[in-house]
Amino acid sequence: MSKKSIKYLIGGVLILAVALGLFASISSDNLTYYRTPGEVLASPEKFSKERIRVMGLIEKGSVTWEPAQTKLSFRISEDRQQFLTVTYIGAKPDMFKEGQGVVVEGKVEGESGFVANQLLVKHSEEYKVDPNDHSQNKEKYFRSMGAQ
Amino acid sequence: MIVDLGYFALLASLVLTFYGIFAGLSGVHRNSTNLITSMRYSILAVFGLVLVAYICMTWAFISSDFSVQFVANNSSTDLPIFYKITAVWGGLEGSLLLWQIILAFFAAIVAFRYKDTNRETHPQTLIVLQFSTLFLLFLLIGWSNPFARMIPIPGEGRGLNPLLQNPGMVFHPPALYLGYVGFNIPFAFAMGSLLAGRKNDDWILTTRRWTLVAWFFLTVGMILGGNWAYVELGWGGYWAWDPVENASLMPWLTGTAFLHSVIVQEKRGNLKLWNMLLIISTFALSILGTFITRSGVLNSVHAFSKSNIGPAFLVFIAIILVFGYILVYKRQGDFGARLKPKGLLSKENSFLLNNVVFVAMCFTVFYGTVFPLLAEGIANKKISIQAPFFNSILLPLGVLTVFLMGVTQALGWRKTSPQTLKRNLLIPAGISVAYMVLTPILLGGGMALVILSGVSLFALLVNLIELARSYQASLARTDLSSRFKALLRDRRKRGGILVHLGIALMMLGFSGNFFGQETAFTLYPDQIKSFAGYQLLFKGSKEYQALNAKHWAAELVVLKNDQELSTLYPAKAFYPTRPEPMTEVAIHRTLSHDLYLSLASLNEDGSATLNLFYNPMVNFVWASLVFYILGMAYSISYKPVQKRLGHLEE
Repeated sequence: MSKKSIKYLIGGVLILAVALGLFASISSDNLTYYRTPGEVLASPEKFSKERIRVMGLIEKGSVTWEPAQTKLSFRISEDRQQFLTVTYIGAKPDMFKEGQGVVVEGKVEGESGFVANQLLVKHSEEYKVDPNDHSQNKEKYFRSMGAQ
Repeated sequence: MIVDLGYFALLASLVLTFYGIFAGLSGVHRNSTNLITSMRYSILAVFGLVLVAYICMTWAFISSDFSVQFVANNSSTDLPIFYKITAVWGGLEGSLLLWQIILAFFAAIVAFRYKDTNRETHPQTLIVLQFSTLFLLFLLIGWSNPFARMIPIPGEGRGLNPLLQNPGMVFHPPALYLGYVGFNIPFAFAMGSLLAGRKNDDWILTTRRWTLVAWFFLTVGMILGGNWAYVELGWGGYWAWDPVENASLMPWLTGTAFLHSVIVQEKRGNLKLWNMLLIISTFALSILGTFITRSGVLNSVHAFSKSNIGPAFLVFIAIILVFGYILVYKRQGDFGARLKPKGLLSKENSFLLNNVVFVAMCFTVFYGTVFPLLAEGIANKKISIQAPFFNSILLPLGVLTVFLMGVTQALGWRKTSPQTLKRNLLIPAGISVAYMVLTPILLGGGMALVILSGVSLFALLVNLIELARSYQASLARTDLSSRFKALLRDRRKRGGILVHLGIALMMLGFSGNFFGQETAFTLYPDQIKSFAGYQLLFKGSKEYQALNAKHWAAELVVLKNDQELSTLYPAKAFYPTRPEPMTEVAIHRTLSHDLYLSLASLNEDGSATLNLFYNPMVNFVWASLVFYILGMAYSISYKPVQKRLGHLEE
């Protein structure tokens, strides 16, 4: 075998090793699957060990925000039929409000339903707003934040 | 009227670009100087026309001409004039126009600056450049026309996204584009050199400064982007392995590899084929970056616009890759190495290793960014790849490059004796090993933190000593004027060292992420929260007007050992054109750390919910900018001696 082809062989093996290493590390802990609220409700015990992401819309009237505990609970669904109860400990994100799409990441934890430690609000690209309405005020802000 | 003039200017520049390409091709074919000269002037005219178009667009923004859809979507009458001017690149269409004007400007420089020095490859280079112009003009005229009108004309625009109303965001896109477009120039010279069948290294020498400038702006653009995310998005950090961030990191990684490997070709005549492949990849990746940012194909907080220009970008990337690789394949006989390294310990080999690692890093980022797309498209499984994946692979590789950054400083070309290595590296290595052993014992801290900061310290010390040595020689002079002159000596080396110091500093800053703290809590007026050695006293809420937004803030006094340090006002900002309030963070900055406060909500019972972060060494990251600027000033002012290896050898 010539010197050159040995070089290429070593290079090729190296690249293959790196690629395989990448693949192996992706398929283990570093990857999170998305599930629907329906899938989680169908077999909650299955998701009590595995961290997953669930995407859904926040149900109207389901939001409770307890500032003293920084505890946010709400229900999400994809089909408006199966609702998954989510508890999130942390501050409420800016765009969080009823009807908004969210992604939560966490596990199912017994009675309390889905406990999330990550909450992402889907940014809607379309800011639908009447350009002549300049009446932003506190009351509106409270309403948008889901205050009772 | 003015708007129509702008659109007409774009149309005219499209026609002229077609003419330029045609004139260039037939000029080369018939060996006609007149046609080539004519092409050069048409490139100049295209720059003039695009400038007209750009001014017209800016005028439409300043005069709030909401008959133009792009203006109506990205501006409003209440916007401060400064942001009206910068809003031109606040959306897809305008940012393509910005890209186009930078490209046209660069092309005009190339058309006149290098006509005599690079005569054999100049026409081909210009033809390649004009194809990039053509692509952008097609986008601007067809798919995403910034001058498109809307009916009925709205009375008020929808306003510039408040997230973009920030100085960091104003300069972040132009810097990135200067970087992306900058890499178009070495790419065009490389292709021009292949098309003309030249076997020498001219293109490397000619484009040295272009490569430096491109790298510099890409780096600055990314740091500004990180800084913008830090002060504007309110989640306490500046980098999240978001697809759009990754999109700019990929060309940066191959671009950095290229920056180093061209030195090997310039000095030793090696790595010719590798350099060709690198510049093709870097340019293709910078287009891919724009595609990812602008097509909205990947879910991302940054992809501000969704549009259907995706396929056009993919076609352009495919053309770059296919054209580039075929050309390289056809000329593969021209890439023989001239001076091979003698020993294992040599600058060449260290640079080669550095290149392999950079490309591996780029591949990792590419894989992690694109894999979820493939999984969804092929297996119909929706997955998410996040920070742990990138950190687990890129952290060790990053540490390796930083280590090389120190070691290479002590290596010579061809071969280096172990004694030299020992002499130059013993002290820094000793200090950083001592640091790495003692820190976990005395202070605690994870492996990742200790290794990353320890190796960064090593690289910092080696480069610092090297810089000190270089200046020591200069300062040994007695009279002032020769001292001053000596300061300007050895510019290339000092420039490189300064940039490396910046990188080492930035890496130290990154290691701060491993011992940051964060918490979320609610305070009632006059309550105190203790955190990371500080006490925060909540005084109540406060309303005030700043620029065009009404702010509603929580007032917090920062205390340390009962001493009042400052008062912070994390706020919600209400912009007249937006339904959602924006979060305005407040930061108590010190040299070694930030106390970072973002207001989550002001509650009806008078309490405030806050996110609080303790971010150590984050300012090192921003401070590294100073070193990049200084280093670049040194490096760019250095003019490589026009010794051509080809002549040197024969």
